[in-house]
Amino acid sequence: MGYLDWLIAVPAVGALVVPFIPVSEERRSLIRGFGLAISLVELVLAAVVGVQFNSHASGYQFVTDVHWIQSFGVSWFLGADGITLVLILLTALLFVIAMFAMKGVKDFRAYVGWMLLLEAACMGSFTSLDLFAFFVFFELTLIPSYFLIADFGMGASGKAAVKFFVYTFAGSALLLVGIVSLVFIHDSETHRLTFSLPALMDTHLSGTTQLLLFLAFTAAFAVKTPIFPFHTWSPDAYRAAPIPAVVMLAGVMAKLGSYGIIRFDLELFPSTARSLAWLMLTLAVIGILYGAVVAAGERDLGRLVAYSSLSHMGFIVLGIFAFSTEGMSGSILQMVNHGIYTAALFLLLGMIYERRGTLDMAKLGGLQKRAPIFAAVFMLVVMASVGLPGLNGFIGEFLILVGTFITHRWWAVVAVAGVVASAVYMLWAYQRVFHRSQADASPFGEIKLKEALLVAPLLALIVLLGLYPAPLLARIDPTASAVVQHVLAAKGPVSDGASLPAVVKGVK
Amino acid sequence: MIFANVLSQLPIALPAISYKAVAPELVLFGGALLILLVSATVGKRELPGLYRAIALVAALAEGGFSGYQLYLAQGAKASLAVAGAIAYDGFSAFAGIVVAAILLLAILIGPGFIKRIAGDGPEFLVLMLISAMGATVMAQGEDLIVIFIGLEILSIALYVMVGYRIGDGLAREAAFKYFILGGFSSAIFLYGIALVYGATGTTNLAKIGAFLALNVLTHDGVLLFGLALLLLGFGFKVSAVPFHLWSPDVYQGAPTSVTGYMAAMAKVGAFAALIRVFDIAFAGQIVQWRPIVVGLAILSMVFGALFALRQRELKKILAYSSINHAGFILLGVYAGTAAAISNTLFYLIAYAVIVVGTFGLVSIVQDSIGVSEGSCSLDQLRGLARSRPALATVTAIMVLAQAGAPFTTGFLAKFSIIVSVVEIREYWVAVVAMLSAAIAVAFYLRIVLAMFRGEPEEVEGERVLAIQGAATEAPARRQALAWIGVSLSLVFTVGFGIFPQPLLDLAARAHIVG
Amino acid sequence: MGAVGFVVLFPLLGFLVLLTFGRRLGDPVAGWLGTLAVFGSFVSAIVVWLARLGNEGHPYVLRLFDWFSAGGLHVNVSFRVDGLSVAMILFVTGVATLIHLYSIGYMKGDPLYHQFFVYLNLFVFSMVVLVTANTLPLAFLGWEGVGACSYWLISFWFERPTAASAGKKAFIVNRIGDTGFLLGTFLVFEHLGSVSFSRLTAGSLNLSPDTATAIVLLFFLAAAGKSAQLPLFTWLLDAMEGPTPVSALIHAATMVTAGVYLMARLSPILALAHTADLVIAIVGVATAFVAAMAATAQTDIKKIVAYSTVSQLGYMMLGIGTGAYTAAIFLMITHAFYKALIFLGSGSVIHSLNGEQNIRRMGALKKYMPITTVTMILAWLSIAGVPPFSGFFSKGAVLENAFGDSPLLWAAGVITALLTAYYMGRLVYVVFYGTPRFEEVTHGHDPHESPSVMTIPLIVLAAAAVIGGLLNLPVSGFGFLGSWLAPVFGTAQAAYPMSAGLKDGLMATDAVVALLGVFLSWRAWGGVSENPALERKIFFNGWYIDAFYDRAFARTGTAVAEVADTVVDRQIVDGAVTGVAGVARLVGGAGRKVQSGLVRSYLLIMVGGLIVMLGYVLTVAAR
Repeated sequence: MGYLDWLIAVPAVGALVVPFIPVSEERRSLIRGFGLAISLVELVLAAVVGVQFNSHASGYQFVTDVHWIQSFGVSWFLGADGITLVLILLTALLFVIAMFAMKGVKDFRAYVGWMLLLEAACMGSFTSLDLFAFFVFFELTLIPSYFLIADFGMGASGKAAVKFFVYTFAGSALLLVGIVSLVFIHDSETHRLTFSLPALMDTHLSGTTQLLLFLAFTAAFAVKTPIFPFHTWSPDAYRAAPIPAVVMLAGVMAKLGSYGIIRFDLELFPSTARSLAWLMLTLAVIGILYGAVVAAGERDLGRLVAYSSLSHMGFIVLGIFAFSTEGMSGSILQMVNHGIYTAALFLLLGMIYERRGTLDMAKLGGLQKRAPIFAAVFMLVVMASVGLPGLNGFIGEFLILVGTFITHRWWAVVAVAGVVASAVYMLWAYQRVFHRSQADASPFGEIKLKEALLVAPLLALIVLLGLYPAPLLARIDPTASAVVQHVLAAKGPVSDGASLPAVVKGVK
Repeated sequence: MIFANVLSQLPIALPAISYKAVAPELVLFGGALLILLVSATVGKRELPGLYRAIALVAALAEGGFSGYQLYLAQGAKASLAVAGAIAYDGFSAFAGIVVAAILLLAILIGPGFIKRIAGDGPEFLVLMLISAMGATVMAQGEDLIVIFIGLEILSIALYVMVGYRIGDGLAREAAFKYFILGGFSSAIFLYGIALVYGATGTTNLAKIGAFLALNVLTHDGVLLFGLALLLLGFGFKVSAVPFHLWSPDVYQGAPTSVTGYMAAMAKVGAFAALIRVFDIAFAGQIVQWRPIVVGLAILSMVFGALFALRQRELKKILAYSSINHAGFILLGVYAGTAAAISNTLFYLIAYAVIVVGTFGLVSIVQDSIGVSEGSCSLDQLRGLARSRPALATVTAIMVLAQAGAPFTTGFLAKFSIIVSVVEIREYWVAVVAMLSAAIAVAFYLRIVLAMFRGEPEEVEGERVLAIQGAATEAPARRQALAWIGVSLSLVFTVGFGIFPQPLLDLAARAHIVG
Repeated sequence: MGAVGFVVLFPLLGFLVLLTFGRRLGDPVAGWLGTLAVFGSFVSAIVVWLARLGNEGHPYVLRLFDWFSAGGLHVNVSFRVDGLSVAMILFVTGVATLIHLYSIGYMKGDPLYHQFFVYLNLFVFSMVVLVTANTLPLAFLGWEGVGACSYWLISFWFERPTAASAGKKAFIVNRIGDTGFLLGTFLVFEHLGSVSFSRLTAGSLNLSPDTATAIVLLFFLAAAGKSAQLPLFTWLLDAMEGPTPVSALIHAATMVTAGVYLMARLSPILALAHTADLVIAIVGVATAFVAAMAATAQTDIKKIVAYSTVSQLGYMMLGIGTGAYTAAIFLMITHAFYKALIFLGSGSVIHSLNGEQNIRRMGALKKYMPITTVTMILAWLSIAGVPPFSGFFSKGAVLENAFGDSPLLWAAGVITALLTAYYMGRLVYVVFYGTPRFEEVTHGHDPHESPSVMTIPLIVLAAAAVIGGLLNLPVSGFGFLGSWLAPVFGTAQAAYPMSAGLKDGLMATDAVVALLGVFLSWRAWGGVSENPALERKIFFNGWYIDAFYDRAFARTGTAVAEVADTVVDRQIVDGAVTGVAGVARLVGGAGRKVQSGLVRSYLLIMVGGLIVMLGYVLTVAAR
C-alpha cells in the first residue's frame, strides 16, 4: 500500500472502529482521544507525502493502480500532483483542528465517527484519478456532512442539511451521467472500458458533446464550490451547522468543487473550458461582487461569512479560468489560504456563539473592550480574509488578479472591486461586533488558553504563508503550469468567429 | 433422482421431465408440504422452530440448486425443459438465487413478528414458500401460460399474507384492494396472452420469437394490443405508475415483515418474466414497446419520488420508494442489451436484499416501541437515535442505501442502470433518472432526520418507554433472529457495495435462452 | 548600505516585542521602548545616508528572499537604497522618533497605552518598507500596512462610534485607491514582465504613451486615495478622530505623503504620459484650493489643520504633475516638519484643555502656553511661505515649476497660498490671542504648558520648520536635495527655461502673497473669534462633498446591500431553488389526493393508463 492508500485507509478504518470502542459514557473523552490520534497520524502521513513529493515534477506521484470492479473497468487508481498535495495537507490539518474543536458536542462517538469518515472521503476525492472512485468519494462526503450538519447543529439545521444534501446531490446526478457518457464514448472509440482519468483525456469528442459533458461535470462542481447562482444552500448550511462541521464544509469541502473543475473540467474538456471561459469568468465575477454586496447587507455573522466565501471562491474560479500559470497557481494557493482563514474565522465565530448564544450582529457589540486579545486575533483573521499583504489571503488574490489581468483584462478590472468590497463588509462587521460600547452588559470572557491553542496553528499559517508561501508555490507551480499548457494546447472544436470569446479576445 | 427412476419404471407413460430444471420449484413446494405434514402429525402442539428450520433448509436448498444451475449454465448451453415450457438457464438460475436470498432473510425476520398476530402456526411459512415457488415459476416460465400460472401462485399467496392481520381494518382493506385490483390486472394479463396467441398462434416464448423472426405481420395490431395488455399486468405487479395505486395502501396495511417480502418477491418474479417476455420473445418488436416501457419507467421514477415528499407514513414513503426503484429497473428492461439484463439482475438482487432488510428494521422498530405491524408514522421514529442508536444507525444505512449512497449495492445498482441507459445513448433518460434519484433523496433523508433529530415528545415519550419496557422481555429471541437477517442484508449491501465484482460476475453469467 | 535592513528591522522588532510583552511593560516603558526602536531606525537611516554620500550614482539593492513567484511573475523581498528612498527614510524615521517621544507624554494614562505604540511601531515599519521596497508588491505591502495601521489608530478609541466609523472609512476609501495600485501593477507586469523598480526604470522607455498614461492614472488613483486628493480626500477629515500624535505622524507628515512618493518613484513613466501629468496637476491644484477654502471656515482646530494638510498635499501633487519631483519632495519634507509641528502644537492645546477641540472655546492661550504659542507661530509663518521660513522655499519651488508649465496652474496655486496664510493666521489669532473662552472646559483651572517630553519635539520641529529651507536653497551650490535626488529623477525631471528676472519676480510674488495673507488674517481675526460672514456654511461643511458621498454611496450602498440580502438572494435566487422544491412538494401533495383509497378510482386510473398505452399503439407504433 502506498502513502495515498494509507491516507484513505487510516481514517476509514478509524471510522469503522469508533462505534465499537468499548468505552462507557463517563470516559467518552477516550473516543475523542482516539479521533485525535487518528487525525494526527493522518497529518503525519500527509506531511510525509509533502516531504517526499518531488516538487520539480508535474505528473502524478505516489501512484497506486489496481483493478477494483473489472466489469465496469473501474480501478483503484490514486495519485498526487501539486494540487492534490496542498489540498491533502490542508485537509489533514483542518481535521486535526476540527477534532480538537469538539466543544458543545454531546455524542462524541458519532461525531468522531462521522468526522473520520468525512476525512477518508475527502482524501479519497482528492487523490482518486479514476472517475468512478472520485465520484463515489465525492458522494460519500455528503453523508457524514449531512449527519454533522443535522445532528449536532443549531436551529433549523435539519432543513439546512437536507437542502445541502439534495442540492449537491442533484448536481452530482448530472456528473454521474456525464462520467458514464464519457466512459462509453471512450469505450466506443478505443474498445477499452475504463474510468481512468489519463486514459479518458484522449477521448475525441465533438464540440456539442464536449459542451454538454462540460456542463454536466460543472453542474456538480458549481454547486459544491459554490459558484453563483448555485450557492443558496451555503448560507443556510453555514449558519445552521455546528462550527466544526462548517470548518470542514467551508474549509475543505468547498475546495472539492474548485478542485474538480481543475482536475476534471480542464483536463477532460480543455477546448470547451476555453470557449466557455467567458461564461465561467463572468459567473465568477458576479459571484465576487454579488457575494460581497449580500454580505454587506447580512446581519448574521455566520451567513455573512458564507457570502464572503461565495465571493472568495469566485476569485478562485476566476483564476482557474484565466488560463495563465499565475492565475492557476494563485487559485490553488488561494484554496489553501481560504481554507485556513475561513476555518479560523468560523472557529472564532464558534467562540462568540458559545459565549453569547447568538451571531446576530445587532445583539453583539463592544467585544474589543471585554476581550482585547480575542479581538486582536479576530482582526488578524479578518485582515487575512480581506487580503492584507503580509497575510496569506493577499498572495493568492494577487496572483489570481494578475493572472486574470494578463489574459482576460476586463474581468480582472471588475473583479478588483471585490477587493474594496471585502473590506467594506468585513470591517463593517468587525465594527458592529467589536467596536461601539457594549450593547450587552453580560461579560464576555477573554480567549482561553485551549481556544488560543486551537486557532494558533491557523494564525501561524496565516502569517507564515503570507510572508513565505514559496514551499507551497514551488509545488503548485509546475502542476499549474502543466494544466494551463494542457488547456491552451488543446486543439478542439473552434468556436465560430462571432462568438463572445472571440470578440473579447479582440478587445484584448 | 431416484424418484424419477422409480417413476420411469412404472407402467404409465409420463412425459420426460428434467427434474433438474424444476428442482427449485420442487424443493420449495416440497418444503411447504413437509411443514404442513409435520404440523398435521404433531397435533395441537406447534413446533415453530422446526417449521422455520424446514423452511430455511428449503430456501437454502433452492438457492443451492439455483447456484448449481448457474454453474451448469455457464458450462453447458442453456436449455429448455418440460416440453419447452420451462427455461433452464443462467438467467432463471440467478433469479432463483435472488428468490432464495429473499426467502432466507424473510424467514429469519418475518415469522417472529407474525407470531404476535397469528401465533405459532405453520401457515405463514407455507405461504411464503409457495409464493416463492410462484416467483421461480415466473422466472423460468418459457410459456406465457406458465408465467401466468406462476403469477397467480405468487399473487394468491401474497393476498393472503397481506391480509394476515385480519383483525385490523386497514389490513383487511389492503388485502381486499390488492385482491380486487390484482384480479383485474390478472384478467387483463390473460387477455393479453390471448391476443398474442391470436397473433402468433402460440404462447411459447421461443416459438413466438421464432415466428416473429420469420414472419412479418401484416396486421400487427393484435400483437401490439396484446403487448400493451401484458405490460399492464406486469406493470401492476411491479407497481409502475400509473398501475401503482394499490401499493401505498397495501404496503401500509400489510404486516411490515410481509411488506418487505412482498415488495421484493413480487418484483423479482414479475421482472424476471417481463425481461424474458419482452427482451427475448418480443425483441424484434423493441421499437414498438420501448417507448411504452420508458414512459412507464419515467413516470414511476418521477412520481415515485415526488409523491413520497409529502407523506408522513413511513411505509407509504417506502412504497413510493419502491415505485421509484421499479422505474429504475424498468430502465434496465428498456435498455434490453445483454449487459443491461445482467445489470437489471444486479439491481434486483441489490434491491431485494435492501428492501427486505429495511422492512425488517422497521419491524424491529415497531416491535421495540410496542406498536403493531401496521402503519408506522414518521413521528413514531422520533428520537430513535437517542434511545436505540444501533438500530437507528443500521436503519439509516439501509435507507441511504436505497437512496443510492456510495459503497452500498444501492449505489452500484443505480450506477449499473445508468451505465445501461447511457450505453444505448439515451442520455436524457439517464439524466431524468438521476434527477429523480435526487428528489428521492429528500424523502429518504426525512426518514433519517426523523430518527436522528426529533426528540420524543415528553408525554408521548414516557408512554413509549413504558410500552418498550413491557415488550422487551419476550421479543428478545424473535428480535435476535431478525437481527441476524438484518445483519446479513447489511453485510451483503455494504460488502458487495465495496467489492461488487463477485456479484457482478454472477450476474454476468446469467445468460438467457434466446 | 546594508544598514537599510536595520532601518526596517528595528521598528519590526519593536512591534514584535511590544506585541508580546507590551502589556507587562506598561506605561511608560512600552513608550520608551517603541521610541527607542524608531530612533534606532533613524540612526540606521543616517548610517545609510553617510555610506551613500559620494556614492550617489547607482542604486543599491538589498535582496533578502523570494517572496512569491508563479509563472512569469517573480516577487522578492528586496530593499532599494537610492537618493529618494534615503531622503524618505531619513525624514520618516526622524519625524516618527519625535512623535513617538511626544506620544509618551500625550498618551499617558490611556488604558491602551502599550497598544498605541504597538500600532505606531508597526506603522513605521510599514512606512519604511513602503519607501524602500524595490518591487511593487512589496511597496504595496507597506502601502496597505500603513493603511491598516491608520485604520487601527483612527479607531483607537473604538468605543466612540464616530472613531470606529472614521477608521473604517479611511481604510475603505484607501482601498478604492488601492485598486488603482493593483491594476497599475498588473499593467506594469503585463508590459514589462517584471514588477521590480529596477526593471521599471530601465524598461519604461519601451512603453507606449497610451500604456504609460494608463499606468500613471491607475497609480494616481492609488495616490489620490492615500494622499487625500479630490475626490477621495474626505476620509482624512474624519481621520482626526484618532489621537493627535497619530494625526501628526500619519495623517500629516508621513503616510499621506506616500502617494506623492509613489508618483515620484514612477517618474520615469510619468515623463512619458503628458496627459496624465496634466490631470495630476489639475487635480492637485484643485484639491489645494478646495481644501484651503474649506479650512477658512472650520471651528475644530484639528479639522482646520486636516484641511490644511489636504491643501498642502494638493500642492505636492501639483509639483508632481508639473514634473517638479524634487520640489514636491522638498515640499513634502518641509511640510512634514511644520505640519507635524502644527498638529503637535494643536495636540498640546487640546491636551491642556482636557480634550477640547473647538477653537471657539479657546483664546488667549499665549499667556499659559508660551512654548506652544511660539512654535505654532513659527509653523504658521512656515506654512504661509513667509521668507525665509522653509515653506517659502519649498512652496516657491513648486509654484515656479507650475508657472513654467502653465500660468493658470500657477495662478490657482498663488490664490491658494494667500488662503493658506489667512486660515492659519485665523487659527493662531483665535486660539492664542483674544479673550479667554475656555472656562467651561477647564472648570476654572488655568491651562498649563505641556510637559517637556511634549514640548521638546515641538522645539525641534520648530527649528526644522524654520531652517528646513536650507535643504534646497534656490542658489546654485546649495541645492543639496536637488543634487541628491538628481540621479533618481534624471531626465524625468522637468526643466523650464526661465530668466533669472522671472524667477525673482515669482519669488517676490510668493513673499508678497504670504505677507498679504498674514495681514488679512490679522485684520479679520485679531481680537475676533466669530465672524459668520467669513465662515460660510458651504465651506464649513467642506463643500458638502462628504455629505454627497454619504447620500450617494454609503446610504444607497447600504440599502442596496440590504435589498440584495433580504430580497434578491433570499427571495429571487434562493426563491428559484425553493420554488423548485415547492413545485415538487405541490406535486407530492397532489399525489396524496390521487391516493384516495378508493378502489374504483384506482381502477379508473389504471384503465386510463391502459387506454393511453393502447392509444399509443394505435397511433404511433402500428404505423
